[in-house]
Amino acid sequence: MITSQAPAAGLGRRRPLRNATRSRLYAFALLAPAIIVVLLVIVYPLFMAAQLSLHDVKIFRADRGLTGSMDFENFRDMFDSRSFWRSLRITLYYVVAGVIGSFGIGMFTAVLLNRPFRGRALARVLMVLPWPIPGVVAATIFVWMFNSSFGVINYLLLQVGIVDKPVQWFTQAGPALFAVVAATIWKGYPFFTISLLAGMQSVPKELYEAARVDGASAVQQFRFITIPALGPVIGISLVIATLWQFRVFDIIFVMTGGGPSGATETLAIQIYREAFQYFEMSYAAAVGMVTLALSVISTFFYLRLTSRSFY
Amino acid sequence: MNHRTVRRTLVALLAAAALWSSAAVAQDIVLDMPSWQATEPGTSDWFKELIAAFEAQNPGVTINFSHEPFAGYNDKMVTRFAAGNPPDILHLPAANFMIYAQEGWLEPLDERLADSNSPVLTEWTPVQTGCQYEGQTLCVIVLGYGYVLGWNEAQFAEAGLSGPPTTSAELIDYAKQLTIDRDGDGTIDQYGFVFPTVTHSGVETTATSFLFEADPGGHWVDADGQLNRDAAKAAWAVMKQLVDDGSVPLGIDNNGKRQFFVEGRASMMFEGPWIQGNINSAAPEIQAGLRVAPQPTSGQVYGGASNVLAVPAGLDPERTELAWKFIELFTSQEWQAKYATIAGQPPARAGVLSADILAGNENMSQYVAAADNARDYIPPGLEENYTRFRDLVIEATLAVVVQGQDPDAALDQLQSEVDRLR
Repeated sequence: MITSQAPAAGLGRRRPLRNATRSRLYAFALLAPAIIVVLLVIVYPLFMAAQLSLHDVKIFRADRGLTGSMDFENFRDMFDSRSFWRSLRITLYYVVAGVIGSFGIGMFTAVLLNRPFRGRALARVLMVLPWPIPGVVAATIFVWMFNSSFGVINYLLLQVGIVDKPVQWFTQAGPALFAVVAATIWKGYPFFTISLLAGMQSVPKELYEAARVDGASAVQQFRFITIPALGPVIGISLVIATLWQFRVFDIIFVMTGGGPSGATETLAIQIYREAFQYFEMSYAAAVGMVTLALSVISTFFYLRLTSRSFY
Repeated sequence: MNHRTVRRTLVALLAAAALWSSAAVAQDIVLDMPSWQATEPGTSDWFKELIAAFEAQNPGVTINFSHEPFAGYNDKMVTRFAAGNPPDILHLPAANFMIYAQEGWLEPLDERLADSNSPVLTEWTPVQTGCQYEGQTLCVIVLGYGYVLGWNEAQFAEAGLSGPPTTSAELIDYAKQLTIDRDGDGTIDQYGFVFPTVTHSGVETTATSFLFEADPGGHWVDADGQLNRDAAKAAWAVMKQLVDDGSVPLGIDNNGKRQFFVEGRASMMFEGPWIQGNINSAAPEIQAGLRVAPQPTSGQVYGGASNVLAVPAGLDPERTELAWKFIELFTSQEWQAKYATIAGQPPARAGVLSADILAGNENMSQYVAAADNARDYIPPGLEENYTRFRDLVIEATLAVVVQGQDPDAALDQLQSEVDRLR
């Protein structure tokens, strides 16, 4: 009896296994186009960039491919280079200042737009207006605004009496960096406004009503309800904005070209210069790898900080 | 219809089709020639007329002369070559020539030059040597130039100055006298001199001009790669004095520099022979006072090769031959003379400027003299890394001249970067 039951039991197990395999294959087949696209447009270029960073190639040529030995010479050169450390320092300053500034203004405008008032629809449109403006156009606007001779910024500063002579925005290191950060914040804050406003509108009203009944002030409601409830939105928004900031090129390139004397040369600008002005593509790829690592680290940092669920 | 007639008819039809298709193929030859000068007044007019003449000589061949902005032009060309899709006729800024030569992307021209007994071998500008790489001629210079001083005679007369400066010391003095706040509102309405004071190649141009004056035999670095510290400090001192005197507007690039000059808001600037286009674009009342003189650097003139024509390597033989024929036409007496009359630039070929041509452009003799006296801006030994070296000089110059960094500290830094380059 035992012997006659065993094959039957075996057959019984085999049938669901085949079904599971079939459904798994079906799932993979459905996912395959997406996986192939991801492999082709994300993984393969990253792999190529990593490989390129370990070679000594001035110009990458499709007809030659990557030949020769691999080593860490480009990374050694990079860590020995004064300009790399300067660019890294400037990048960190630029990203932190740009993200904090954009986040602060975005939160402020989101809170304003979350309150009912006449003309709110128009105000929402006006607040997000910088978002669709191309970076090159935004940069050009700011170049004119910060022009030391006839720019509106200097005019206002002189009129108010904050300065007694025009500020030379693009010839001094500090002012130049301030100017590009200001343009970046202006261009970037609407993203936070939209994200945070959407998040605020999904916070249950009952929480605020209960808090008011308990005598909580507006600041306390913001501190203990709004901010924790927005945690995941803030986290994702910060991650996206940080990744964007790391690769900002157009605004800086148009406004200062990385100058004066490298004072606004972020890693993104340095990668461009190494790859397309000096044609040191392997070295540029090495700098790119470091930028990628920084982006990944900052992503994990933000997500760990803000991923706890409020509800 | 018998078989023979049918066969004959078919043969005749096939022959006609073959003739028609070969004619169609010939019609279809379009040579691709991008250029950053395709919309530049004067120069583009000359190129377009040259192309029209070439097309008339070569029926069925057309040249697609397309505009690519100068910013990013070299990136695009390098990308096209790297991807195996080069243009048919390569027009290139001379400063970028070396990267193409090193990659083996250019067709050697020596045999063709010798076979055609080309004037490039005997009558060309001395800076043609810049087209040599590993013993081969890989390009032909379109323009060899020297810098000149643009000055505003009307403003000089108003300030009581009789003529342009001839030394940097005079330049500093004159620039100070020419810097004027006309309405007394605290804003300078007219600057004495103008050069770029943000990151731009014009910073290096200005610094090197003064360095040549400080050391007539030297350059930024010597044969051993050591910086010419005294000359560099002297050059920076001139520029810093101009900035400290308030004689120079700050925060402007090269386009801003030209705009200041042609609008009468700056009395002097350094520029290549293409200054003629700027002068021609000025408002009539300002244009009347704009003049050209030798650089005020004690006879030392900044210059070199501006741009070149080359034939990409690896084109099919017919296209290679056509590209070479285009270059041949460009080197002819007629089109070299027209480079002066239409483009308003000094031609690369010697002896083509007649008295009539010189009489037709009052500044042409200045441009020719500047080109003849110019010293090459590329330091010997740094040809292959010139772009990076230039950027280092720009960075150091701005740090000292505008931001007030100690020159010795800047030179120490620059020396360490040059050591890394070499």
